[in-house]
Amino acid sequence: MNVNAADREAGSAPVERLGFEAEPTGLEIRDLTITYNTEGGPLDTVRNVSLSIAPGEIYGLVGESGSGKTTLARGVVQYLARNGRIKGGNIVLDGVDLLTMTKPEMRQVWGSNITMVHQDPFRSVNPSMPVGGQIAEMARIHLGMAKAEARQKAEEMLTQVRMPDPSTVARRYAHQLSGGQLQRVLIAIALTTNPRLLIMDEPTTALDVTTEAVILDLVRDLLSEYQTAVLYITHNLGVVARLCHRVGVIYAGEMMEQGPVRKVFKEMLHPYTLGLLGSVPRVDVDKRDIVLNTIPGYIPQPDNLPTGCIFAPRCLGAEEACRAARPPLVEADGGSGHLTACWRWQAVRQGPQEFAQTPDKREYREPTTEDIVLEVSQVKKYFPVSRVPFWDLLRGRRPVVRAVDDISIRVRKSFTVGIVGESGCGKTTLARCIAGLEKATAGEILLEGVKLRPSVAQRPADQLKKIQMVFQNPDASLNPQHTVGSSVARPLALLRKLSRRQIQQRLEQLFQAVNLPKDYIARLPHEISGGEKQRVAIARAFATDPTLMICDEPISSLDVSVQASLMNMLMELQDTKGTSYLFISHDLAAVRHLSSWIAVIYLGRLWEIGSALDVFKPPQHPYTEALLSALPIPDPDARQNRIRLHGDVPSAVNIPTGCRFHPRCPRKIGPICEQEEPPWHDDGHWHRICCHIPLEELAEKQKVGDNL
Amino acid sequence: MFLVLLLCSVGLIWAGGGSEGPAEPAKEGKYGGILTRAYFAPGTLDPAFASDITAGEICGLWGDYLAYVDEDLSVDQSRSLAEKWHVSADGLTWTFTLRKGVKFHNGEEMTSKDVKFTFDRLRNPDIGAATVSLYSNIADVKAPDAYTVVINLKQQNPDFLAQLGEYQAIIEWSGTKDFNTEHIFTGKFMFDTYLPEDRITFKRNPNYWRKDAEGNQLPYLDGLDYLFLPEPSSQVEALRGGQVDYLIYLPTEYVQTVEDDPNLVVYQKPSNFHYAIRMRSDRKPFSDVRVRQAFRAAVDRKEMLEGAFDGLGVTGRDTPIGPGYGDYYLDVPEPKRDVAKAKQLLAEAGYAAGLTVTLTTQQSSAMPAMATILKEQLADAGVTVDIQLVPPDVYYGADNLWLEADFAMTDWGSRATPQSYLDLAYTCDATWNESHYCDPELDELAAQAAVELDTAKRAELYAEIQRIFMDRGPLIVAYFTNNLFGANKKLKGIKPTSFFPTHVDLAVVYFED
Amino acid sequence: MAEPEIKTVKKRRPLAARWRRLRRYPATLIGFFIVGFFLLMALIGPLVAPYGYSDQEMSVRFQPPSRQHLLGTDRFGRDVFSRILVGSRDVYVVAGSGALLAVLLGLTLGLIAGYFGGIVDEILMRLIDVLLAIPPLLLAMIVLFTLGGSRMNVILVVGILYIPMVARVVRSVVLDLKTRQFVEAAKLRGESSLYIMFREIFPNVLPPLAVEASMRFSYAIFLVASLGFLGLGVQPPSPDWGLMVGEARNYFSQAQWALLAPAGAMAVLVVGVGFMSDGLRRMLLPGGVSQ
Repeated sequence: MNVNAADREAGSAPVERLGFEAEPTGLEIRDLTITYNTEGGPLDTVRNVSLSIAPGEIYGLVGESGSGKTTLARGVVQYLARNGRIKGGNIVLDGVDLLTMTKPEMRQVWGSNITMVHQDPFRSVNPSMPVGGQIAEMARIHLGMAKAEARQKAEEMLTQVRMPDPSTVARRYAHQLSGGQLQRVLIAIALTTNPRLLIMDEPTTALDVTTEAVILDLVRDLLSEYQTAVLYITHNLGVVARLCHRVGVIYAGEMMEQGPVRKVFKEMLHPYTLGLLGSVPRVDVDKRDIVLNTIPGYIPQPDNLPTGCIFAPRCLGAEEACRAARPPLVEADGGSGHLTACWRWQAVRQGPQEFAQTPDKREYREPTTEDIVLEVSQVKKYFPVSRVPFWDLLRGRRPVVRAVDDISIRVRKSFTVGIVGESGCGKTTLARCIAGLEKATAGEILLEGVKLRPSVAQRPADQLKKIQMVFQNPDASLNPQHTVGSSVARPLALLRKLSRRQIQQRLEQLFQAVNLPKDYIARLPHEISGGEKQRVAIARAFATDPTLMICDEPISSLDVSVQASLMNMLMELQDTKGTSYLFISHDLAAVRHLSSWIAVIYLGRLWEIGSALDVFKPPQHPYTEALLSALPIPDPDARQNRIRLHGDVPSAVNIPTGCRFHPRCPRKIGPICEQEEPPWHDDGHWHRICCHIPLEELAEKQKVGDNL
Repeated sequence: MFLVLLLCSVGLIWAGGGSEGPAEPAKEGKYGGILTRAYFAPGTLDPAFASDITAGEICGLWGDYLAYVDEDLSVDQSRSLAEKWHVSADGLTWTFTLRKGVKFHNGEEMTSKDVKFTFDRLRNPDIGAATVSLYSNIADVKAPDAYTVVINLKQQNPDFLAQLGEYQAIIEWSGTKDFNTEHIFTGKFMFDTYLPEDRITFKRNPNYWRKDAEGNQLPYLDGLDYLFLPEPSSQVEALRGGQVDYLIYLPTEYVQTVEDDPNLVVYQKPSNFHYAIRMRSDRKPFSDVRVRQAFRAAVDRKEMLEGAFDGLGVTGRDTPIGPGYGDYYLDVPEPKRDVAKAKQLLAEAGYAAGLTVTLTTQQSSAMPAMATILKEQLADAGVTVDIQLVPPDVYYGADNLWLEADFAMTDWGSRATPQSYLDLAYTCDATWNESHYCDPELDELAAQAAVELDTAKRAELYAEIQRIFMDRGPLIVAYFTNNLFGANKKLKGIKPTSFFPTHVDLAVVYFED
Repeated sequence: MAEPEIKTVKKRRPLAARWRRLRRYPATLIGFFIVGFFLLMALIGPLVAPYGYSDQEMSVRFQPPSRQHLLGTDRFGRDVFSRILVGSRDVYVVAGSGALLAVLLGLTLGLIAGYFGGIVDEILMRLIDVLLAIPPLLLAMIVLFTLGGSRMNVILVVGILYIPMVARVVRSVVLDLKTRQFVEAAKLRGESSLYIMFREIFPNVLPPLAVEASMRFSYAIFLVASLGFLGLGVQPPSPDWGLMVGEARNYFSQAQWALLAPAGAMAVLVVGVGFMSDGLRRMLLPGGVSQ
């Protein structure tokens, strides 16, 4: 948001001059089309989108990557890229058509009447100014306050966003605050001027789930006091269900379905919404009953749109009429406010199964039956702290980051062990130690009974064949200059020493196994999508027929529907090949769905281990409980406990004494938690919890809340 | 980069020479004014060791000679410290009568003891001046009375008088202890200040013994500023800008520029300065006389003079003796270029298929251009020349490249007598015999000429020597250059010289508006 | 249930398409044309030049540009235009080889320093800093004075002088690349360091390296010309452009074209290389030009 000196001089209250109505009427977007001038010609990336947001209402705009939701938001504030412009439609905010405004007028509107909260808090604040000052700046410039008054307002806002110790925090710089705290600051900045419209663009995507829950609570509670119309952009259906009043589903630049959250989530009237909601694994359903829908095909490019309904090529229930003409956005059941752009919406309502691609349920096996493939015993990984204060060095104190602090776990053949934890808990470090990319400081790792050398460079080839890894970022996992086929063929040549012809055969088999067409073999990574790249990475990992595959957040960076298809694929491959997975993620729902055995990790230690059926039911470790209750479920009727963790994750250099969870534990019982390390309790069915509270007590206490 | 250098030099001159230009002379007729000169910084101020041009010029500014060599290479008694002289019949004893009343800069009168002191110093091997070998023919120097000097030679030497006029031979005050800091001589200018790397300044000697034709005391000038500017381009710019009044060794490429300037004038006088293209005759390929003759046949001297020196000279005849020496010069027509003959000679010598040689010479003055032209001319005869240019200090450096190379081009200054060249470079055991040419007949003739007092007979001997050079000698001498001077038109009385350009008589120059 | 067809997300962009895309950037095309023209002259210059580069004709000295002599004649009556055409070969051979040498050596050093890090990196980088600290022209002059001026020596000097810049660029790219997961995937396969450096990392270093290489070429042209101007490394009558400028300097008042033509040719070529390197970057990056 650009604010310059001229605006500063303009001072406060230009509102009347701009023509905004005194009584807010909200945002109304009618038939908006945004186009980009590319080298291939003009492309309409947002087409004929209409939506309205009443004052005080939170409208969730849901879409996958490439759907146009961010472009739409930028179009509303008229902050498009150089080659973008609004081709048609109008945007009316409280009676004023924003498209008729000149640039200088728009600049006045920004910050005072329209504010925005972005995704990455660290990129949105000025790193060289204390955060309190940035809030005060808003007050000075847009509200015309004097310096002292503005400073006070800043502290007021910080209190409103429930920042502990607001006056101290006001003097801090961005790098001294955590992600969650910074996001609160951003919300404070955005609400300082009591804007008419607040746009939030994926504000919690970069945060941990526990922090996200706190912020979502804050947003909901805070905004109920303001009359601001909120446009909340996200790809997370759970967040929409928890937070928003109304929702709009946008696909490839067009609105597919729109309406009150409850109506849309309970009674989907568009095949795309159906597919989306069906592809999210649920934590409130029995694990054995979960099947993930997948949506075949890909989002069309704006230069290559189908005639007729743009979703038709991927719709399982598409008919001739669908391909012939574009369906308009119509209201189902007059007056409901529930709109859909589908010719066959009644059929969707009556028989959704026709439109969803639902795989068969998977057979459940007890996770304790097979042989042990990987045994991790008391592994520790400490990193030396790079910058040590001089006096500590003198005293011989060399602090370490205890990333992994005594973890033992077992993985059995053709089962998946899931390790779930938030950022910084050590799960990735553990994975890298097992893979040999980091050398464990202590402990043993045995693969099929044979000890593994700590560093991958020391391990013999047959051991390397047996452990493979899939990484998080698909763009970085493949060499951009090698064809995807050669990336997959290399381990075949190197570790399995196959002949040329054998390699070619095997390549085709692998590509088929990951559902990629043969002609992809000659492609370069930049020519295929993120999900496809990840499939290639999986194919590459499978090339050596590994016994154990370590998956480090393999699906977190992908779209929801793509995640579902990849999860299904991983499970299928496990069934056919018998590979064991070590699945590491912060996404509880995905871990729960994929894994048979789950371990919960916090600050380098495990706190609960058990089968996937047991772990997410009481009795639970308080941390697991908090995680579950924080997770937004894509069902507006779902009832969850509101257990929130306060404070931040402590640094792994200064581990709290006793039970290291005690500073944040909502079920802390007393000084024992601070002094003694808790024991492990076993429920007799291989479900173990490390806590001072005995299992029976935990089960009792947790039954009171809603059980999952 | 050149532009930057130029700007810096101009700036320097502006800063250095600006306020003290030749601007406001206190004028009474011819008198007055400070002359500003510019050239390289001198290596030393001690006349015995003066070897570079500036040092030589400075000698002539503050000192006088027993025998003064004038603009036409003959000895001028009126400007010599010796009033008269005569030589004994056997040519071995020279008696000089000194002028009376000549004062040194410190007021003391010049007497014979100063002359003896000077020449003893110059020929003393312990002091090791460059003149030791030159004056090795002197047996002794005697000073029977205050105004008489007797010099006994070991052998008769027709060039002896001229040798007394070598630039180092200024008469020194016998009381001098340190020649680097004391500069007591009899010359027209007295030492004033010396700023190393910047300039040396002189003021007029109020007691100078010379007078002009009307009996007025010389010099006319009040003083002289000698600026140290190494780059010819900056010297020329200073001349054009008025910061400098007079330049010697004007490069040919600036002649046009200076002539075009309405305030400046160019003076020329033929000299014996030449570039000796010498062929090393003690080994192949040049040991074969036919190859040397072929080379001489293949060059076009006029073209070289035009192309490399803009025609400011006269063509040569492949000997070191030029027309400046009057009767001693053998005047024959310029040989015509004959490429066919060259090819035939080369074929006879066994190089019908062609010959490749490397020409080594310096990266200064006209030598690169000459090399380029020579290469093309010889190419017509089937000879491939690879040019190898080196900086002057490498050419004359520790390895003595110029003495060792097979095929090279060396610059030779204008000397008082032709004998100097023969003694220095063309007799069998000459110290600087760069062409390694050894011809007993030539040696015999040279030895005779060294002691022949009769000019007619001497001319015959030199003529014979030149014929040898033209026929079977080791040289190509394409041309002799003119000495080129640039000066401000306000400066009058300049008489260009055929001798070293530093020898222009500045006692008689004056400013005129 | 209907089987929807799988549509591809992005189309392949072959080289031809990348060339066509370059048409939107006229500056780049001009650059390619200039460099190509002089390269062609380097190859066939002596064949197409109207006169021999060393043909002297005293009667036509100092002629201004005319129909017979497109860029006039110099002090020896040589045709300036022909000399410029033939001189292109010197530029490409000497400056080009020097730059190439610098690129090869700098690439190796940068790869090793960047990949191995630690003490190896420290030592190599300090050595390179030493080399960087010396002014290029000064070092070149010292080396050539000592070793003697020949083409080979000039190429060597240029090559060694420009190693630091290349090494630094390569090293910084390698430092970034070696943390990428495809490198870790390679380690997990047990690939040797050599393989990772040259087969995994190097192909990704190529685009920035190509740009750096063309920049080095421009700098090398200037350096070689400066040396020629000072008379180091080339002997007359070589049509080296720097030497031409040096020779023409003293006669500037009589023949301006003899100096302006080679200086201008140098300027045009260097600018052309600059434009071209921009286009190279666009072409070599996978994914072509981003919008």
